[in-house]
Order: sequence, then C-alpha cells, then structure tokens
Amino acid sequence: MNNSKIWLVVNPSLGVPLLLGTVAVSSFAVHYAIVTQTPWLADYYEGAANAAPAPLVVAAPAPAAEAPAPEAVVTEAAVPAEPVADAAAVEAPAVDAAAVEAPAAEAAPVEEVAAVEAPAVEAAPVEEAAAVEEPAAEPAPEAVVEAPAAEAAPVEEVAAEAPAAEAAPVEEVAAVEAPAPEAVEAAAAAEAPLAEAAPVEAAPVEAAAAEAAPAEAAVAEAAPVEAAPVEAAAAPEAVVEEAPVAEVAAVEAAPAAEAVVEAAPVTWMPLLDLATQLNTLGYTVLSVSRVDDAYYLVNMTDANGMPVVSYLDPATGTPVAGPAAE
Amino acid sequence: MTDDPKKVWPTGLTMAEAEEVQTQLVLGTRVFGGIALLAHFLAAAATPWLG
Repeated sequence: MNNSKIWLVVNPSLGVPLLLGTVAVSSFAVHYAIVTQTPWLADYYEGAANAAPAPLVVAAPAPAAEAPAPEAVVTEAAVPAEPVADAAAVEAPAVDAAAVEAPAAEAAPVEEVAAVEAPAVEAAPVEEAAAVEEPAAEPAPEAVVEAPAAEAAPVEEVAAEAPAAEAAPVEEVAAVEAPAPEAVEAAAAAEAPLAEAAPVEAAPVEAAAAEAAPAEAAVAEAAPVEAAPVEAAAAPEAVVEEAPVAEVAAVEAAPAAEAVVEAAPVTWMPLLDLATQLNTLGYTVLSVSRVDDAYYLVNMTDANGMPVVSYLDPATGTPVAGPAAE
Repeated sequence: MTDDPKKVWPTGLTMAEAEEVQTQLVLGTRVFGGIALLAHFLAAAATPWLG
C-alpha cells in the first residue's frame, strides 16, 4: 500500500499522536457543543425528555358552550303533551327537532354538555344561547311570543307546547319555526324551574304563537344562529307547563354560557386511580404533586427504569402540556 | 525509490516497517470507528438526538 510510505518520511512518533490528537480534539469539540448549545440533551439528562409525548389538548369540560351537545337526547318522555303540541306541531316545521314527541320528557341529560354534572337546570348549557343573542332573526320569524314574558320575546323563543312536558332537552330541536334549517340547533325549553339558568325563562306562549314549537317537541328554541355549527344546548329539565301553554325559553346566550363554564370545576382523579393507570402503562410512580391547580406533576420511571416527568390532566390522567412546555 | 526493501528511510523505518505501522493504524481506526458507530446508533435510539 502506497499509503504506508508516509511513514518513510513522517516519523510515526509525530504523525500518530498528531492523527489521534486531531480526531480526539474534533470529536470533543463536537460533543461539547452539543452539550452546551442544545436544550434537548440537558432536558434528557434531567429526565424530562421522554415525558409526555405530545401535549394533548383536553377539552375542558366547561367549555361546554363551545362544544356542541350534539347528542343531547331526551330521555324521558313526558306525559301528556298532546293537546297543545298539536297545534304548534302543525305549523312547526321543525322536523329534525330532536324533539320528543312524547310529551313531557325530562330533560335529557345531555352528556356532552359540560353542564352535565351540573343539574340540568343550571347547566342549561344552552350554548346556542349565544346564538340566541344573535339576531337570529330569520329563524324565528314567527315565533311570536305573546307571552307576557318580556324577555321571552327578545329571545328567539322557544315554544314549548308540550304540556307538562318536562324539559325537552332536545338539542337540536330544530328551530322549529326557524325556517332556516341550519340555524336550528338548540332548543332548550325551560320551565320555571330553570330559573337558575337565569338565561332561560319560560314564558307562556300562546299555542298559536308557537308555531315555532316543533310539533312534538316539547321545546324548541329557535336557533337563529346562522351558523349551523352552533349546537343546541339541551335544557335538561326544563319543564313545560300546562299543555295549552307553550313555554318560551328565553335564552340569553351569554348568561347561559357562563353558567356552564362555572359548572365545570376542576376535578382531581384519586391518586390511587392515577397510580394504577400509570402502572398499567408500565410506569412506576415516584411522586405526584398538583401544579397550578391544573395539573398533576408526576415523577416516575418507565419500564426501563428511565426517569420520566409528566404533566397529566387532573381528571383523566392523560398527558398534557404543562407550564414548562409553554 | 522503494525498490530496496532494506533501505532505511529518514524516519528510521524500512518499507516493511512503514507498512506495519500503517496496518496497525488502519486496524485501530477501524476498531475506533466501529465503536463510535455503535455508540451513535445507541444515542440515536435512546436519546432525543435526531428527534
């Protein structure tokens, strides 16, 4: 090999140390730079590198408002709603209305509604309420509320025909009157009881007026909202008063929304459950602490004994982006 | 110029000796490279390096 001839003119006692020294110095320089110039290595050595993979955004329960409660289902059928219903029903175009034909139903506890936990009433997560505020004019054009309830009037109205029906949480009760199919979303009928839901007030409406009232549906709020996206909030236990009368749920969106938000306090899953969940995933929990009243900060080791630090959602135990990630 | 294998060059080595030095250096480099390669694979797999 001709390469070996170098050692005929370059003394190995100089050439070899020079070669090895060059390799050593360059290698050291590269690794030193990595240690001092990059953040991930330091994080790794501190045990945070493998923590929570991707920050999962956990939908806060509270934001029910935003989250549509598509599924709101009316659970119970109410009793005798018929008499009244019909009248309204007739006109009521609202086909989709999830309305419950059954006369009074109790409000269907909309699960999704963040409000869920909260008594339906308060919850009255009428998200759409927001919609309500909106002029939603179109939707409820007809909704005429004779009802004394002034408020009702402003609201787009919901007419609940069903007699005695209890809340008709029909979510999407279509906007009955609302011609605008899109608009329709929510309808929450509230009865007096719903008072808390401040926003929602029931006002007796004349049957006639209640065109809006979806046929069977106990209540319908016209969701004038153009944005179809708006989801109806279910007004869980809204109760309809007497048959003949339709209640109007004057919903003021804003208030309702707030109510919902408040109804969603931070819940902390039991430490035992959290530890069990993590153990199931192969982690060994070393310590758990609450951070900012919003996360569980867990120090643990994975199946390989590597230290892991992770912020977890207090209610579900799923990884979330903690303050450090922000 | 290298015709004479017995010739002692300025560095005090003959051609055969120079080849011996070269052979050992190449061997050492290969061993070093192999270890380094393994280390880098491990680093890539077990640390955040390279994402």
